[in-house]
Amino acid sequence: MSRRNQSPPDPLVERLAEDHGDDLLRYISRRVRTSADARDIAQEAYVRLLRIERKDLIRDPMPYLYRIAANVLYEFELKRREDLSGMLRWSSEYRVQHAEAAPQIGGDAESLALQDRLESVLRQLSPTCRAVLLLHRNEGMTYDEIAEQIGISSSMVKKYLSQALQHCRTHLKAFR
Amino acid sequence: MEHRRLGDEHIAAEAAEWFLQFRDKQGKAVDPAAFAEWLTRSPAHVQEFLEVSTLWSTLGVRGSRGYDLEDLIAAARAEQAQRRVVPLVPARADTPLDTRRVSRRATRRFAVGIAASLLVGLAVWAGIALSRRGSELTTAVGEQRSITLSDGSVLFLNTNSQVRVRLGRQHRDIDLIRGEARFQVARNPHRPFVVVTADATIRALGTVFNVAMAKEGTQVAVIEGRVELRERGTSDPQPPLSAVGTASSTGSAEIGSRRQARLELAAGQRAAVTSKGIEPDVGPSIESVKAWTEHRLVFRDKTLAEVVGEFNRYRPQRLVIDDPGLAGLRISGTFDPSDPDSLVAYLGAVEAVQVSTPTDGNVHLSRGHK
Repeated sequence: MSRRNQSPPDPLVERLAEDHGDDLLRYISRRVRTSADARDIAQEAYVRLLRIERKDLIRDPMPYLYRIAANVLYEFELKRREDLSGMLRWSSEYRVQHAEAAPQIGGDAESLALQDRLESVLRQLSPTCRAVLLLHRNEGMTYDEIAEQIGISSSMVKKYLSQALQHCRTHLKAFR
Repeated sequence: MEHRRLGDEHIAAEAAEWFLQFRDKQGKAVDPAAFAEWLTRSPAHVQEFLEVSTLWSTLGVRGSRGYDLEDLIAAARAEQAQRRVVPLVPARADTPLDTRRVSRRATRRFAVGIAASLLVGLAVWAGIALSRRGSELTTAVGEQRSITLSDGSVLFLNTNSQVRVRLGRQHRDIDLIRGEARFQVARNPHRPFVVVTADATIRALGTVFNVAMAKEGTQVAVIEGRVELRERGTSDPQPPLSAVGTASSTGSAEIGSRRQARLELAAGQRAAVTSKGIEPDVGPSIESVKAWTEHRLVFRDKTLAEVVGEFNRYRPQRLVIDDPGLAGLRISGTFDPSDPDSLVAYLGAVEAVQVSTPTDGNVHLSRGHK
């Protein structure tokens, strides 16, 4: 069994956030397999956000949101595993291990398909959107550096970047 | 259903902007309260934000590696160059003269620097590739562009519009395929400047005029100089150009029993070509067509339905009139099309209008209680 089962959610998520940074998001995305899952998680995270009285006291809202989402995910995962183990009690040891291994394999095939899909969505972008996105995300160039390379203002770089993200997001939606 | 989809895309766009603002260390820091307010508007907001974050990390892990850095930048630069200038490209077997001028210029640039001439070459090549059938220029909803043509004419393209440009030695042909455009025509008596729409043909020498394709037909307004307006399909193969400006001195047509096929318009005049033929003094006011290039919307005693229709041309998320009783409300004012709040605030002040923004991202207007 993985250590996830032994740790209470909060420290686990905390550690994930600290140790992995961006990986936390991958952790989330790997576990959100269908858009229905994503909607449920967002819905639940939303309800929890609404329960917080003084939202203005949250100093770092983005990591805070991720923490909530990761918590929700963790609970969903636990619940799914309970359902699974109830169903497969007759050979729990083997089956549960198997069930845990399975998404890993599935995940790889899925991630290859995702990669293909991402590649083709990136090709659909206009030359400027594509350049801005790849230069910033892959090459780590700042807005100013990109602005100089392409010969546009740095506020336009930001506009193109946001456009590119929105395009990818909209066109990957159908896939997930 | 359609509205919901548009609303989601709007939320996705805002999510992308929030996300980038968090990441932008040089820019203005995120206001946590404002973000919390945005985030808790609906579950869709939470979902879109999580999705864009996830996309970002996916791009980092699985994002494209199969590209050449130089090509990537060159392609973007070429696109930007294309956006600013439509190179003069001879149509068909036309004119060795212009080609020579291009190559001479290119040679000069070559002497200055290989990189520079490569760029020019790229832009010219892109122009040629595009303009076998003419260069097409398009604007998205909410986008406006001004393009300087190689003859010196300037073309302003309004939101959600499309034109095809074909410039030759003896002609300058523009097809307005949809939407609205303003033409500031560089004077050249040897190269008539002709704009063609589904309903009308508009011919100009040196002048500034506006052409809009509306549901009812084509609306033309002249800001400077004169144009000749013709119903499309009325065949007068050799229109005597000298007649432009000499016929009816005011440009207002004698409305006889005969259906009118041709009309001259002078500065300050307007007309529309509809299924009924050419109708003088129809269409948006000169004041309002002048205003759109300055990003203003001008309404004079228009119904709320018309005003909302006009606003909705500029933005993907829509203003919706829920209460049919409001549609006929008459409005006058000047607004910024990118700022619908100005209209909403105005409405709240003059009439008891209830404004609501449900999760679909649209702004709903209904009769308020006062």
